[in-house]
Amino acid sequence: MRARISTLSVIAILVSVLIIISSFLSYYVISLSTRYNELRSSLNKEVSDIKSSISSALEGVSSLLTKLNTTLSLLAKNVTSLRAETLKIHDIYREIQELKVKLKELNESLRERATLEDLRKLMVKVDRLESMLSNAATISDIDKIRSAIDEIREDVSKLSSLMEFPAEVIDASGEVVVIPSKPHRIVSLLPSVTEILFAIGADEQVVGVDEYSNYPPEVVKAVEEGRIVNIGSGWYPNIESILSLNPDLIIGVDSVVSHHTLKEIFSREGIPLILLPDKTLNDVITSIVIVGKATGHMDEAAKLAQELRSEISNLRSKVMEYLSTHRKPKVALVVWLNPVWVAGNNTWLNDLITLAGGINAFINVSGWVSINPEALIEASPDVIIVTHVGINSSDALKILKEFVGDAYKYIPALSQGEVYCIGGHYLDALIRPGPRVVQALKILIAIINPEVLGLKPEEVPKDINPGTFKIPS
Amino acid sequence: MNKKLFLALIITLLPLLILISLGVGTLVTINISTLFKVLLGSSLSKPERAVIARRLIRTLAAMIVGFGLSYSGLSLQYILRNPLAEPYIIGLASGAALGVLMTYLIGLTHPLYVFISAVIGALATFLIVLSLTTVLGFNPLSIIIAGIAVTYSISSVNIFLIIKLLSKVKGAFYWLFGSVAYVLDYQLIYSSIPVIACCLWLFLRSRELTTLVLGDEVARALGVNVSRIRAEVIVCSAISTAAVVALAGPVGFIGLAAPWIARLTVGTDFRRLLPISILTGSIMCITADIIIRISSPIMEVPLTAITSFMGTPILIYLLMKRLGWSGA
Repeated sequence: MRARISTLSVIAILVSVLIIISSFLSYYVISLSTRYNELRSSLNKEVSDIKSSISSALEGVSSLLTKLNTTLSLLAKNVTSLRAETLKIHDIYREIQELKVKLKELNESLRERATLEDLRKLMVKVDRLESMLSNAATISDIDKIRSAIDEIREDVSKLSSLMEFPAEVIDASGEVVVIPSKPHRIVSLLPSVTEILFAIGADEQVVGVDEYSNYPPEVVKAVEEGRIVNIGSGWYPNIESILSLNPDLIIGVDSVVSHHTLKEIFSREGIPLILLPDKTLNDVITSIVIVGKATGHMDEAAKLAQELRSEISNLRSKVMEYLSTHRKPKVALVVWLNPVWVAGNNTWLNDLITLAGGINAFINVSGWVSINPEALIEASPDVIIVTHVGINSSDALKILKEFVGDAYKYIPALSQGEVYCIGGHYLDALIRPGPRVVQALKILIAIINPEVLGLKPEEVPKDINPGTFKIPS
Repeated sequence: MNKKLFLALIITLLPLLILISLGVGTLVTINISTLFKVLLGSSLSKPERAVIARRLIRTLAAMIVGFGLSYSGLSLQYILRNPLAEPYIIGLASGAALGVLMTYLIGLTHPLYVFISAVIGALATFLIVLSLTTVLGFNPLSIIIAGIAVTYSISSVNIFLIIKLLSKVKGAFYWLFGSVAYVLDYQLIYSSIPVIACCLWLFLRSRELTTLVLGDEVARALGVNVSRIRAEVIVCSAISTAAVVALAGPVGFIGLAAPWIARLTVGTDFRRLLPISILTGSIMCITADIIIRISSPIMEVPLTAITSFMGTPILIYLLMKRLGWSGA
């Protein structure tokens, strides 16, 4: 029995072991299968993912392809336009070549003195080229072309400055003065000349002025700072100080006798001296043009001359219109009070009085004359303008009344107190035949016929200077 | 003053003054030491050369002015027997001024025309004086009277012209008052030739001139043609004064003062007087010009302003010494 039991137990144990093993196994198998299934499903998912991504990628490629297609077609279009541009550039190149040839010709003909007009034309052409290029395409070659054009422009400007010089001007002595190159060391012998030089922008070229040159204020400043040297009185300039400045151009005027001698002296040293005409109003404008040509400021000078001319003619016509309904007053211009000197006919101031719509009370005498009381009574001016330095109108009136005595009652200007004093830099504007002629004219019109400038007579002070009176524009 | 000392003084003074004159001016950078450097071989810039050239022209012009005026004055004092005779007594200065003013009136302002018309004006005036003299009878007194009369009448015309031309002759006073600041090189040459030539001629005649001191009768007795020598002297003085006036304008007082200084020191012998007064005149003129340039470095001042100022003390000295005319 025991054996049976033992066998039975063994079997039972075996069976149980088997059962345990099999259950384990079955569990394992089951778990394995679920794992497999999981894996399978995930794999499937992955595959489908890949599939979808591939399809989307394919879509992208196709869209890219279409894009490429359109760009290609655009490119094709561009190429045709590009070809046109290239042709244009080719044209420009050819023009540049032509320009170069022309420049060369010009350079050769410079000795035969080609006209400035040719050069101007050339400059216009270069400008046109430049504008053409800026409208053209953006190719790196264009930069090269642009630099080439710049070179040409430089050449042209150099040439044109060469063409402007040697400049030949005919001065008041009737001689041809040759200025070999653009002057950079100019000496001005008179304040009026200095004013012209500064008005046309030649101020940087001025190295010497006479001691009365005080306008524009920059002159005074430059003299104080030593940039411009004082060469003594304008009528008797100091030759040594002029020579020491090593000038390449000296400008004086015809009416100063010593300037003629200086012209001879400096011609010995090879320094050109221009004598500007300074007798009439027209001479001022001529002077401006002459100075412009001689200093290389032709454009500015022509512009200034044109401005002055038009302003003067404008004022002249206004005065004429006014005078058609009004009487011309008799004007005496007293330049000095002790003794009494007046401006007669053939003077600069006489021209200005006439232009301003007055009659010079001393038109029957010529030049600057000293007069006696009887002459003043005889002339009996309606207005007296005093340019004596440093005096006010009430003093001037008193002096003039004493000058003629009780007879002042017969002189309208004295009995009505129509005595005007001009002072400050207005005085210089009046007596200098320079670019401030329009201002001078306006001052005289304001005194003689104030209504022409839209002023009431009482708006014009008896003492006219920069502090009391603003010249209407 | 000691004769020999004076002679030595003026002979050494002239070259010294010329040197100073070349070294003095507006430009203080060009001075005597610059000149020495140039002599030692250093080179100059263009403006420096030009400045020295101008100073040289100016100095030589001053020298010629002193030269011409002093011997003209001397010889006129000799033959006119008048201690106050000077070159302008025969109307030359006013005549030259008239000539110059006429060119301004016409409008010819070129310096060459001005120069030529000054010469013509001076010589024409001189001819008027000479013809007046012959009408009055040729003797020292008639020359002086004719000269003074013509001078005054021409001066009045000049004053009239100056007033009339005042606006036209701006910058002309340097000439009317005498100045060497604006002398041109050719003017210097044209002037110095007649001045030197006339001087040589007078020097050749100095023996005859010296005899005039003894009186006309004695001179005649010694075989000298008195009226001829007188005419020669007047013509020579007129030509050289005309040349000087045309060069630098009527520079005053040299013609009177220089011969007097010479006479005070070396006596009455014309052969000695001539070179001494020439040296004195040149020295006075150059000194005056140097004084002008030092005292007024930028403004140009007329030469007469200084020469008259320098001459006046000499005249006063003469009066104080009460030196009588021992000449003729």
